[in-house]
Amino acid sequence: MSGPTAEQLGAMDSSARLRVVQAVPGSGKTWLVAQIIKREIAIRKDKICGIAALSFTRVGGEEIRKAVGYELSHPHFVSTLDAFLFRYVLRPFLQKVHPEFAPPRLIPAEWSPGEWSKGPDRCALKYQGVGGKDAPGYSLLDILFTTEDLEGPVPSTRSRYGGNLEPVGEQHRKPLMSAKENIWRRLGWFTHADAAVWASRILADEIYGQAIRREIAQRFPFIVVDELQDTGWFLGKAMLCLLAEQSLRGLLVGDPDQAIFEFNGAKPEIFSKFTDLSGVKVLPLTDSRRCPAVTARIAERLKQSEGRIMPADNAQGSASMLVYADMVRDVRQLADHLATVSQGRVVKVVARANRTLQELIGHAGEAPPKLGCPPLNHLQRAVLKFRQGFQTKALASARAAIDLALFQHEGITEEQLLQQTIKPDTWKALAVRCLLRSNELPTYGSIYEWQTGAGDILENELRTFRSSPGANSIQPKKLGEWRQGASKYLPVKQSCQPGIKGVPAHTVHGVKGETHDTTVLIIPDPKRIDRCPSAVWWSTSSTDQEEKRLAYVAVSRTRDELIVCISEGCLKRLQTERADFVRLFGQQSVRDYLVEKGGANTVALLSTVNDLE
Amino acid sequence: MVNSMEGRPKTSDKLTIPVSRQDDGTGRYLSRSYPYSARSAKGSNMHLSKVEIENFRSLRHLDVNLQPGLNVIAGRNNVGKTNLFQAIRHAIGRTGARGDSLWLDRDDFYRESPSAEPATEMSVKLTFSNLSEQQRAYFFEIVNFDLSDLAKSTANITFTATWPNGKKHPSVKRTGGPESVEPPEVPAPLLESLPITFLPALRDAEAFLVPGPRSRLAQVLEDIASRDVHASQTQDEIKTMFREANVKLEGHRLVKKITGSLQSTTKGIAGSDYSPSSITAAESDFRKILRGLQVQMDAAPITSLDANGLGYNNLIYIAVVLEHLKSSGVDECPLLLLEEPEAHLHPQLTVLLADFLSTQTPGNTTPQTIVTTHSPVLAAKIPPSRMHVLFTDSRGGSARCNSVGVIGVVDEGEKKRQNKQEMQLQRIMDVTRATLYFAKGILLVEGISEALLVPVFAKRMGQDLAKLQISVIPICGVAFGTFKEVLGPEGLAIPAAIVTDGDPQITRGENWNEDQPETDGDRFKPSARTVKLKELFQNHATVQIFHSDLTLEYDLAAAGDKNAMVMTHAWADCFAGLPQTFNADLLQNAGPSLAARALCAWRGICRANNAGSKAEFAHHLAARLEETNENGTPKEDFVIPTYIKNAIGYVAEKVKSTVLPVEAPPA
Repeated sequence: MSGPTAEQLGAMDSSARLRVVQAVPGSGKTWLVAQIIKREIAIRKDKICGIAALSFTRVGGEEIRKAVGYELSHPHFVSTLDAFLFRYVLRPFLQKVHPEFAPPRLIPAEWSPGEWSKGPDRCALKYQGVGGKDAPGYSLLDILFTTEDLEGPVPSTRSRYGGNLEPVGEQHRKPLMSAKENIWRRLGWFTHADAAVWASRILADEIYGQAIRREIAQRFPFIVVDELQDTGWFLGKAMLCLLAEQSLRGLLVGDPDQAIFEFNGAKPEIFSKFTDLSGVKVLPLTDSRRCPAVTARIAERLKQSEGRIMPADNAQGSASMLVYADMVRDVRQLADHLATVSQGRVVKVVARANRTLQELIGHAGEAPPKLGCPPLNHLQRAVLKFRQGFQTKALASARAAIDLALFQHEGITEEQLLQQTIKPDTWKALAVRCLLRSNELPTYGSIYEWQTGAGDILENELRTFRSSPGANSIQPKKLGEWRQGASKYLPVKQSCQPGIKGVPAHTVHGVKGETHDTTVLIIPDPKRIDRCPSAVWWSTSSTDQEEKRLAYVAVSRTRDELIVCISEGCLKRLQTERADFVRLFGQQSVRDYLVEKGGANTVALLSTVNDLE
Repeated sequence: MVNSMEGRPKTSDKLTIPVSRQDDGTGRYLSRSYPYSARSAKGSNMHLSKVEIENFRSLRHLDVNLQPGLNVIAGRNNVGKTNLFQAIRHAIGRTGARGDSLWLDRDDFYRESPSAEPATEMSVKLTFSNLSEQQRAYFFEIVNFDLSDLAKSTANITFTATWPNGKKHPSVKRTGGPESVEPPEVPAPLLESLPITFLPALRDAEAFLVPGPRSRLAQVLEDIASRDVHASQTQDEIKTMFREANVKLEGHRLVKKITGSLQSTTKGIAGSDYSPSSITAAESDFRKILRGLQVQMDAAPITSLDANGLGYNNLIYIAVVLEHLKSSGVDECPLLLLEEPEAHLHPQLTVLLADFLSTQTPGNTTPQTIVTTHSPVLAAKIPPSRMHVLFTDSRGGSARCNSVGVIGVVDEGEKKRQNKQEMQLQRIMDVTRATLYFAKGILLVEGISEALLVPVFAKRMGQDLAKLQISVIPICGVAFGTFKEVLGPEGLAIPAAIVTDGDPQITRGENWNEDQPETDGDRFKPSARTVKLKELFQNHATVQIFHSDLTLEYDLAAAGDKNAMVMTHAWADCFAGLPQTFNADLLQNAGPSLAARALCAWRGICRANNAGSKAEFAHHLAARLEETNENGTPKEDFVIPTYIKNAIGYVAEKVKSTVLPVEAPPA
């Protein structure tokens, strides 16, 4: 990188109490953040208090660490906003402000607590609701709070099969919140969403709020928040409340055009609330140091807000739309080629949805049917996640299986284990053993047969571990879907790492903040015409705005080559409706591209592959 | 709205930004108000205020409350004084350990009996109080906030260790902060900020004072230099001094000559290119320079450390450590653990050290220091308010540590009284050599006469006070009220009998032999002081009052038919010739009744103006009562006065039944 830009220097030298940096992709915001952090550290030699560098995702924190170049250990804190609010607001202060609550415990989303069936002391984790058979049946640990009204936080949820977040029915809201309240009070269990709500309440508390804010400001007089646009309503509210503390200084970085977590409750509009704080100076970074001219022009077309993206000097980039005939086959071949020719280059396959990636990797499994035995449902999900490469989730589900089988509820703590003279390491090893043994079970029979085998494993392991494996039988019950083949839900494991033929593959959310030499954006053929990029990316509907931003984030990752893999139908619609956009790309089929780029060897390889297939 | 907000002011759920009370909109800072009390704004004194131990070595459970500055923990052997120190050290761990090495072994887990399995888990919780605003920020992760008065917030660290079966190492965890389901590990820098210097009883002070990598002097100098605003300048100056010395040395003809010959000899032997190039006086690296420095004794005939005795080297070492800890910053809360300083010091030096620790380095400036001792010499010189007594039951499990200092200090008015009481107690401790702190039971008596006779009576009763570790303490007066709180459940919590006199009012006659005590019916009327004393100790948990009808001498004579005659002999021992005020003839003339004979004895010994002293009489009487026949039976037939007999019996029985005679009321 050549020297800092005038915009970067302006941001670095600004003496404003709160600097809000609005940065286009590749404008060097991570570098800027690192420089400002280094400066702050340099002037704080006493090490009495530290800097909190917070991001919406863990990846964001890691990026900051890398950019600073040395370990930001105590007294500094580099992590997620969620972790910060739990560690420095909820854990120390919740019981001080609300003594009626049990000590707070954060239940990570990676544990899939929404799948848990029972809490300790018969505390319900589900809210069935009224309406008999048609009752909605909310999982209380899956509830998110995306906004609030006069009655307080609005609980929202999405259906089991995905989709947008929807507020729960008005008639369910009050009893559902009472049930949540019960969990908070009795168990002290807080999901990230719960923690954000309570952190915002604690920080705004009329009696103690000021003292708490000041204590935190003493601990962290300088706070950096990255990816501000992905902040949810209550996370944002909590941080707004904290940053209003006048003794606190801060650096807030983000880009509303890159807000891609709205599906999970983020509120991009909260960005503007931060600019209303006293002592704020907004500092835009518009010069992209990453995108070549062609990519900058493509990104501009997808950019939600007005304003240009200034391309990087001397960057010779390319952009192509490659048409696939068979998405899985062609993308795999493309990945194979890129892995061979791109030594030393950062190449990534990017897709909008996890499901597309699973399809490409061959890990796609349908949502497993529930067969009437909760521990086995957990174990089945554990094997599926394991095969899909999500090891943390797999282990958490396996833990839930043995927790439930032996203790009759999930979410067992280390303390509870020790009370039963079970060492936490031993318990974890048992979960791993159950997972790995179940993973070896054949999947050529029915899902009922698979679960029966898994039930035997679970029972035998628990019997070896303890003389009696708990009161509940862990044999599956035959319900409606028991005849379905197991392989439908548990596809053959191909790799533990999510990747295609050696090229890492991620969702757009997973590559946020990254820079690639080659970005391959996969656009699956939509089932409905109105979901085609030609419609969605330029839609004026508020629900589609995030799709546009996702595309914007995806295309702006590259500093050299952008490849968009698209179906023929999609391309045609784009050519018809967005001809000016399509003209920015070179266009050819995947096969032609491979022939052109790979020469004779690739053609021979393709023939062999095609023959085999 | 959810229910948890009921009953208290509602928090706004609207996206409004609270305006800080210190912000008046102009950016100026307004004065800080609630809940920052005056204490938090001014200098605070963060210190270890409580230690809670479970299942560590001999301690099944122990809570110890501590104060800033000096704390002296007295206790008998094997009560767990060293274990208390080691528990504190383990709680912080090796990160903050200075001094001896620190290892956790399987034997460090409590066992109910030698053959029992060790406990599966041990824990030590340390609570620190009086954190300043800055310290709350620095130690945030381990602070348990008190939002109604932030100055009352505490910091805590809980150390838990388990020893999984089949493992060679314990599983250790250090957590902190408020109660939590999965409390986080304490960050290492915070443990480093709670450094503990441990000076064990058998310390090798010289090893830490001589030049070398373990030099504590080097650590002190390095730490102080690093905090200096001109740190780099200081370093440069010292390095320059050494560099110049080296240059001068290298240029000296002697050194030059030797260097040259060394070079040629080495090459001759090894044929190597590597040979000595110079001879230097010291390293040029700052740290290494400091490690080469040492303390020297100006007035000593030989100045080097190895010429000193252990005692002096220990004193120097303690001085160096105190100097080091004194210079700690706001991000440090150092603790000095000093085990049995008397181990290497003669009594007079021990007294001087005690005096220094308690008066020269007062609470607010001295590092918190905990001293263990079983030296009455040292304990006698320490203000009682700084004393703690550690005691344990015969099974070695339940232990208790009570602080004399926390008794009864309530408000300013009370404090004055308390200070007066403390000074009184201090004087008594000084006179009695503080045996109070080390005894299992106490017989508090008025003076030397009782002190001489009570052990003899106990022996005649078959009670060996020494073996029972019961001390007889003369307080040289009647100020027994001083001991009310000290001996109570929150104080030393040991059984005590106060042996005093009824001291009825005396109506003087024409002559001493006509003096008449005041009566109430057919009994003597106890003095107002005695009545008040009884009222004061009424229903006291550990102390009972036993008083004579009149005085010791009267009650001795009145206790048995032959007592008075034995007393005439003892009284006669005090004089060269026949005593005139009390002798066998006078006793004969007094009449047959016990009361008349006792009055005769009392008048002759206590009321007459004669050359013999009561103390001398008691001494001779004790000697006579100790004489035995060949078969071991006492020579003299003598009946022990009931009040003394009851006093001895009460304390002896209590001591035998348990070392913890009373349970402290729940906190």
